[in-house]
Amino acid sequence: MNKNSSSPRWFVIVSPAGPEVPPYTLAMAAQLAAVHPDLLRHYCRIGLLGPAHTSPEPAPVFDDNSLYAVRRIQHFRQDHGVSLHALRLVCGLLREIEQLRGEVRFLRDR
Amino acid sequence: MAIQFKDYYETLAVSRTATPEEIKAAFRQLARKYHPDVAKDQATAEEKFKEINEANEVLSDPEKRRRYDELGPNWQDPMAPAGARHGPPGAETGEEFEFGGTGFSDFFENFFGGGHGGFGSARRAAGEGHVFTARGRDIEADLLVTLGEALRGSLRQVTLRRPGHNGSAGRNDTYNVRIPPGAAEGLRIRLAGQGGPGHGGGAPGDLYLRVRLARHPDFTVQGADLHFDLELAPWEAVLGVSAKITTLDGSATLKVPPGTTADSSLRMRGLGLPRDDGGRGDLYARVRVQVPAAVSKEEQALWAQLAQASTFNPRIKS
Repeated sequence: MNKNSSSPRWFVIVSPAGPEVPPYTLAMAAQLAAVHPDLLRHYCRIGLLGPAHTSPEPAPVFDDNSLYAVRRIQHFRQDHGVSLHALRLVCGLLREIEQLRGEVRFLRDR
Repeated sequence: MAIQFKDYYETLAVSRTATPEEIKAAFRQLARKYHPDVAKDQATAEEKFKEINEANEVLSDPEKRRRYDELGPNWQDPMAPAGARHGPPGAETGEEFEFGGTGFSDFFENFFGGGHGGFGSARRAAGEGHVFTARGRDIEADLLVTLGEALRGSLRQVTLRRPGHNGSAGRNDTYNVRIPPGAAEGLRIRLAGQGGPGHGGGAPGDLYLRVRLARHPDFTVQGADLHFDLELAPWEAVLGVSAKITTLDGSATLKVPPGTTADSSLRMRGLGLPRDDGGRGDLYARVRVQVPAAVSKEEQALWAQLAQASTFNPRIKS
């Protein structure tokens, strides 16, 4: 199992911090997730994507979890041909699972 | 990829037949000693705590524990444990990513984590002959974060070993990752352009680190609120007491009012984790009344006197 490839040839320190830090505006989030702003608006409207958190401002605000969600939606649609209708169900279930996991964890830890 | 087997029972020093209560107690005892938020010797404690936390993650979850028990001595044989293996990291594209500094071992990630999963169009792009551009794959990994780090934020160093392509050597990237104050369970931290390489001039994917809160020996997390058990003597519950307690911020005094009943909750406002709105959650003390296991002659006489004088009968519902 000990392959030579497991020893690094070089070691790079990358500074990942770009100029953009969350929270993002809709335009910024669309750009970072590589989708059209209208598509992002559409995803929000049909409930596929919630704004990052309930902010006092009326404009939706996005974070890295939102970007991840958009990338995942795009992946399901483009690579697996999943319909928007099915995605609404999938995304709803994923959200619910995450919530239930948190609850189970809390109850089990007590 | 040489993965080392982890003996989680040995890590928690419990028998293979330990009950969930025994596992919980063993974890709490070890965590009090080694959890980075409470340990006195931070440097040696951290590595040890990661192992304890990981062992607890698996053994405290009945489903994960069952899978772990099924692994047995043939754990490296991919055919042996039916349904136990998640698939190696990057299975979808045949690429192997290995992370360091996330707080989880490769053994854990391989069998019990979400894997170093991710998604993207890399496979499709590689499989077709004609030229087109495709964005690189997004990579995701879990990052262990303590409650102290979640409260105050921290800077962590994470390494990612990338596989080589077409016989070329792999590469190690080191990231200084800023965990923002208020990082909640499930929060993803995105490292732009640090995912898989793009194809045909396409942009690289992103790297997402997903926050997983380490279990604390005393506090359990519910959203931004924290809960802990407050142990009281019977007379403290009846007469009230000022209890000195340890919080994430240091220490605080909790005034327990007279006539506090078992299982009631006392709230300490603003001593929980940061909330989205900039405020902080609350700290809840759940009252547990403890009874002395043995009493002196004098104490017994006093209890007997109390029993004579008291009209209290817990079995009569008013």
